Amino acid sequence: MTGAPITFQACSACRQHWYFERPFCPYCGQAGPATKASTGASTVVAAAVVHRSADPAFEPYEPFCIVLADLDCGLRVMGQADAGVSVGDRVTGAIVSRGGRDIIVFGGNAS
Amino acid sequence: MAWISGAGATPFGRLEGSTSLSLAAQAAQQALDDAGLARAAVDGLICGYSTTFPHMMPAGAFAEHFGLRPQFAQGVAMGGATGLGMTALAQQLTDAGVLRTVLVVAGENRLTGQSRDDSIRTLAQVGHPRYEVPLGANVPAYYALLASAYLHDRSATRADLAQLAVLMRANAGRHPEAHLRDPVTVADVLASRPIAEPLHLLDCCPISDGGAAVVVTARPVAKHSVRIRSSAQAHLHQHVTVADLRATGAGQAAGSALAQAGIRLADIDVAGVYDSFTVTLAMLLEEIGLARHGAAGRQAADGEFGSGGRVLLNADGGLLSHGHSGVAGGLAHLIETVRQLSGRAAGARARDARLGLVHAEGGVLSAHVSAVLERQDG
Repeated sequence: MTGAPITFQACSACRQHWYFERPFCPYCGQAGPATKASTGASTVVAAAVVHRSADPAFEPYEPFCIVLADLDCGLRVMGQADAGVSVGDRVTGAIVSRGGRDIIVFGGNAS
Repeated sequence: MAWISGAGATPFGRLEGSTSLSLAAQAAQQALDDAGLARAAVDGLICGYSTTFPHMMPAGAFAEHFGLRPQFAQGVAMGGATGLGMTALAQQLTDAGVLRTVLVVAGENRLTGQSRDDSIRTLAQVGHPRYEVPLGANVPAYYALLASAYLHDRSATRADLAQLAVLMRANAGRHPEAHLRDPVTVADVLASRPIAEPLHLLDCCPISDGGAAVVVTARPVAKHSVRIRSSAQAHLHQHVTVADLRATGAGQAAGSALAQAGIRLADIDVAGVYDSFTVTLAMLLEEIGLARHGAAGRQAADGEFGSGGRVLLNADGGLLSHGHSGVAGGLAHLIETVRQLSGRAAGARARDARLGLVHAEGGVLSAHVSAVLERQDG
């Protein structure tokens, strides 16, 4: 999967890391966390096939797959995925353009 | 002490011409009549939100419409947990001596007040606006992710989950005011059209119109008043991406409510457990401890949750078949449990039920509220 890397944040004070971006550490409150890039290599922990999203951007793609995947750094991320992806699969995720948006898509096989 | 002294609900389903306010007013009048109380007795009002009637001040709007001048009026928004959360708040305010008679009410024409796509789009906003909603995800998709992980991690099958839909439909078939009453089989559930796989249509609750209300009082003002022994909440995440799927907060909330009441789970006779999807009910039953890990569906098939079983579950048909009209849908679990404990249930009945457990969740297993109820002695 080529595209921009999935990023996460890390706190220099308490060493925690997390996914949803904020201007502070949600564990200790330290301001100015660092933004880091993941490799995108991950394991699928849940996979759903959406038949009707009610989102016009993705109507041409229906049915499409949405997954929860655990990045190798331990953080869980939601993204779309290639058809046929299932729980336990090793995949790689990146931010790509789809349906006119930049979204995370998982596909292929990660080592 | 706090008591539920009145309960009222409209039929659930397609109620043409209804509005959020008309449904709430109908339910509130029934609840007051049930308690034998007049409007003037109400000193507290707690109202739920409605997606078809978005309002900054739902309680004020309802008070004026219905004809109340309470000394306390607040709106509450906790998704599917709102109904039980409002009731728990009423309990705490009466226990504290702040209020004597609290009307808890919600109504929504969720089915006829908007298109199905509008409803799906509105509800999808419970997802993260940056990390989830832009993926084209929606509420069935979030729960389908839960179902996918559940089936994989707990060695259960779609047919196991389908048993819960079958049980809810059988219960609804015995209740005169349920939305969906025609019996379904496991094969019907499996063959229904896919919505967000692994969930198919009959794994999902319908969208319904409906209203529901209870009156919480500081004293048992009616012969059928049911005591609220305890309530507890847990809020461990908002978005499913960061949820701990093994400990979402349901076990914590229920455990805390039971401990406060000094009641063992094994002593519970009747339960009302949130069931927006089959997987919702399975995960909640298992985390609370009412079912074994991965076995909720098989235990339902074995009759453990029927009227002759270990604990009578969602005897009105639950959200899956009685219907889901937003906040009122969540309140319906409470109302059915109250009616079971006071021997006034309309459909399937528990035998000699003394203790009830109600559990609601909002979001994607995000907000949890549990309450323990006990029938009046004598």
